[in-house]
Amino acid sequence: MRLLTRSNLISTFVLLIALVVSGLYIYDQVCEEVRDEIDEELQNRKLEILASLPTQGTPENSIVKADFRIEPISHSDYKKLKEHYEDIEVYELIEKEVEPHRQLITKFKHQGNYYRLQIETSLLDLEDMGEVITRSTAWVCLGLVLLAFLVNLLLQKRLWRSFYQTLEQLRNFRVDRQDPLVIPQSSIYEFQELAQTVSTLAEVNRKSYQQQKQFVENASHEIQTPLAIALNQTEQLIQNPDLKEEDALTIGLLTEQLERLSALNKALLLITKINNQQFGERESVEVNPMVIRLINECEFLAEDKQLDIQVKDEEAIIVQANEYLIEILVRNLIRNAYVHTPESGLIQVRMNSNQLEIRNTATTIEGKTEALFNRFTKQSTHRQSLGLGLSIVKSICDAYGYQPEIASANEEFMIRIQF
Amino acid sequence: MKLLLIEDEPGLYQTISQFLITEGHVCELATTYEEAEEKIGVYAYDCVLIDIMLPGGNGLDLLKELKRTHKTTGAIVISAKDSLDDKLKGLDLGADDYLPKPFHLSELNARLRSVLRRLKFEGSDEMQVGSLTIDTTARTVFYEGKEVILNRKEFDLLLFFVTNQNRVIKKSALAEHVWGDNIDQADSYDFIYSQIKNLRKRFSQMGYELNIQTVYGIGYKFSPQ
Repeated sequence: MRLLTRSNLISTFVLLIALVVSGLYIYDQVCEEVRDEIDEELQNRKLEILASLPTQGTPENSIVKADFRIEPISHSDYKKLKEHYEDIEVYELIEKEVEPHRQLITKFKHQGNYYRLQIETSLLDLEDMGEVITRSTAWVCLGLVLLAFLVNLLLQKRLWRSFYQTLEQLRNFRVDRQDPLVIPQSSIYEFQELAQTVSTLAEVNRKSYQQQKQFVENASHEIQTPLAIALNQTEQLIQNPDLKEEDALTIGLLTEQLERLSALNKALLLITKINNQQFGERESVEVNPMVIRLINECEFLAEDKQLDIQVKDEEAIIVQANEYLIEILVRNLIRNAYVHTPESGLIQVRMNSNQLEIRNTATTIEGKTEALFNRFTKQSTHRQSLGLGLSIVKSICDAYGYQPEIASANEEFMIRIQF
Repeated sequence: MKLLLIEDEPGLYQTISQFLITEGHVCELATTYEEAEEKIGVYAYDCVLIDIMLPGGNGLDLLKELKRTHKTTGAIVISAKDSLDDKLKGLDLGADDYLPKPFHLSELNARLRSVLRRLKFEGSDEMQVGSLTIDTTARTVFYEGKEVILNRKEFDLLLFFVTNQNRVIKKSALAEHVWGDNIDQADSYDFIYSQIKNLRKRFSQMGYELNIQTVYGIGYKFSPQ
């Protein structure tokens, strides 16, 4: 949920509750005031009635329905009776419904007799007023809420605009590109701070990325040069026709190790570069023809080992990526299959719906196959294998968000890349 | 051939220039940007080997200058930065080849010969190796007037041996040459053995004994008869 929507909803909700509560409070206050007024009126009426009592004889109720009734009561009742008010409901003939009334029950002594006096008056006014108050409060409520909502929406949108622009800029920010970060100016202190912080952060990141890139390249350079010298020297050494076999074997071993070191350096450098996303440029890459070409390149191996290669080129796979990296990915997979398939084995390559699947005959791998993606995990007993091939594959997949999948069962090894 | 080697690492330029001289070239050396700039400006070379990272400047700028003033001079960029950017930039600027360090001298030799052949410094496309006639453009091999049929890889392998005749070539150099660039595939040298066996078979079927000897299991050596 967007911040603005949420804050708007919360403030609207709070306002709604506040208005309802205050409406109820006003209603309650008004009711009390009106009730007091009515009670006072009832008292006045009592005085009026008492004043109009006949000086002789007993007071009588009028025949016509009046707002009061007088009942003679015994002395003990008179003593027990206390003056009080009551809310009652009376059936009104005209309206044909029950209406709320308020009555005062009191007593008086007249010419030695005791009487109970009951005066009532309609509360209809109060009810009407309540209705009016409720209705008007509701309208005011609705109006206020709507107003607040609109103001919030428009104002906040305006206030937060620079924030959203900054966000958009950040979304498009690429540490490997030089395009400057254009943070919009804002008159709000917090957003000025944000712009400042973000710009600094971006610049620092860009610099450290550049430094890292530089370092990685320089490190490679520094390591490759002595390796190149050493390797060239060994190559010259073995040209000596008087070389003893013993020495030749030592040089052979030396060369092997130097070459291994060099390959390691290259592979680790490549993985670092991929993980640092130093292969920025993306282009449309057609995978199918690349797969076919790389398979053909390995043809001589197939001949050697008498491998059976089956290619199912079902659907074109086109990806947005760096062509060089995709080639490394595919080459690693294909060479992996060729190298690890035993003689007279079968390799099946299948391309369909953005999916490249390679199956080859192989001894079943025990345990977790996913571990093969980790650096330096080897299954083969080939002494020289670096165990980095699949790690490179994994790095490339991670860089582009592809899903690699490995399975090994029934003398078959399967790797599938979901592009 | 007259070559200029632009390289600042003593350990490297000593070996490389010594090697190039034994291969029968005249090899001059420049160890800084300024020195190289001067030599390129004054003398004409058949091919220049340029290292990218040099004291005093970038080798790619030298390449640009070279291609501007001496169009027909061959150029091979050698770099320790095995970066695709540099490779593409180098080839874009007119380099004839790009060789990442570390490289095998036999590989450098093969690339150099190939560049020189392409630029026709070595005369015709045909070369005579013992009793074999090899046409590098048509990629054909004849023995006593009869064609020896080879596939692409076999021809590459033969040419590599022929270019580096009488030298011991390391197995790894052969593997890389046939395999292309290789990362984490060092375990696959075994195929070299059968490749060479196949190559020998093609020639023995025609009655020619291809003289490739193994040298203590570390490499192979081809000597034409």
